[in-house]
Amino acid sequence: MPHLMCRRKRHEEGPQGPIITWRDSEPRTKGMSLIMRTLLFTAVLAVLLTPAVFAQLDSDSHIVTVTVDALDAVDVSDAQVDLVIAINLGTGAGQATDSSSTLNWATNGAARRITVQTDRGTINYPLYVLASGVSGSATPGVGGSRGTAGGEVQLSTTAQSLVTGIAYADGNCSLTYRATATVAVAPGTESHNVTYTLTTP
Amino acid sequence: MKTTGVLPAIALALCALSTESPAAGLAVMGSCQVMVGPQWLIQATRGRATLPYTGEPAAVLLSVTGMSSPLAGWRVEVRREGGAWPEGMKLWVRRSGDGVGAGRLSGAHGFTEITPSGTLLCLGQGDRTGIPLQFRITGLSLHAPVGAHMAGVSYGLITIGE
Repeated sequence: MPHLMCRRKRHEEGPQGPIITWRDSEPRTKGMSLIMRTLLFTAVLAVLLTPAVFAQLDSDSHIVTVTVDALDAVDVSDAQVDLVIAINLGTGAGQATDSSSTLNWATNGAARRITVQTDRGTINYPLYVLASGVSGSATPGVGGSRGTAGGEVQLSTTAQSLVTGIAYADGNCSLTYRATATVAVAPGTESHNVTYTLTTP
Repeated sequence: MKTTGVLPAIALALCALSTESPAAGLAVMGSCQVMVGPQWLIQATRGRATLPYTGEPAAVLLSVTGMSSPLAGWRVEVRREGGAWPEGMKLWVRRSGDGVGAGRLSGAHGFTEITPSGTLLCLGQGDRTGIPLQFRITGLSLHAPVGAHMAGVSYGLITIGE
């Protein structure tokens, strides 16, 4: 049963020669019983639902690797700070301050602190630095902390803690430098190379 | 009996459909390696945002071959498997090109998240080779653990008939 519909060619003889007409035959399914139709429908449904039509044929895979480097970064905003001390004649002492600098840090490690020190061994005009106004972001769920600023630190060649308790965070704070002098010390100029270090306790 | 003509036809249809795409296959070439360096982390941090990290446009090439005809339909699903994937970090994939082949291809122009439960990547018909895939990582921040994080990405080819 190759076709359900077919066309039949009909030959007739007319006055001017043969006449060829086409006529559709009746569908052969007309005689198909209800049982056969049900059977056919069921079979087609089974075919549509069989896994062969909707099956995973093949698969492949590869690896994704995300490598996160360790980050321990700290930087100071101003490259140079100048302090000029004026001696108070009444007290015989004087000081100068500067709060223009900002300290920034970032770490993806736990338990970090920032230390500060100077490279100058002999100091005639004591120099201090104060960290204040710590802000930044940290995720509390993993114990993140942007850190806490301590008190004013008198600079020396020994590293001293300035901000402590930093973990998985970025932060920043203001730096206030203060230099002092007295009449007992001769006038002059002292240069300091001040170093901030983000380190472990 | 009239059913003698119908049953063989049904049997033939079953055989024809069950043997569709006997050699159909899927293959991926390449891998995705993301190096999150300190400079990028600093930039992300200074921006006060968790930036996406987008990889190379064609880190992985996907090919579907051996389909029975240019009209043979298929779809590719993608899922993330195994590995200790950090909490909050998400992996995304997009189709950054069309590849080559006579078959049709659609979907996945935008980034789709790859999850352990799997998701539809793209739809196609016939053979298609060298489909470039690009990956993106989101959720990276200072809070992502230091070190290497690995996950398998599995692709499944599923035929959907003509």
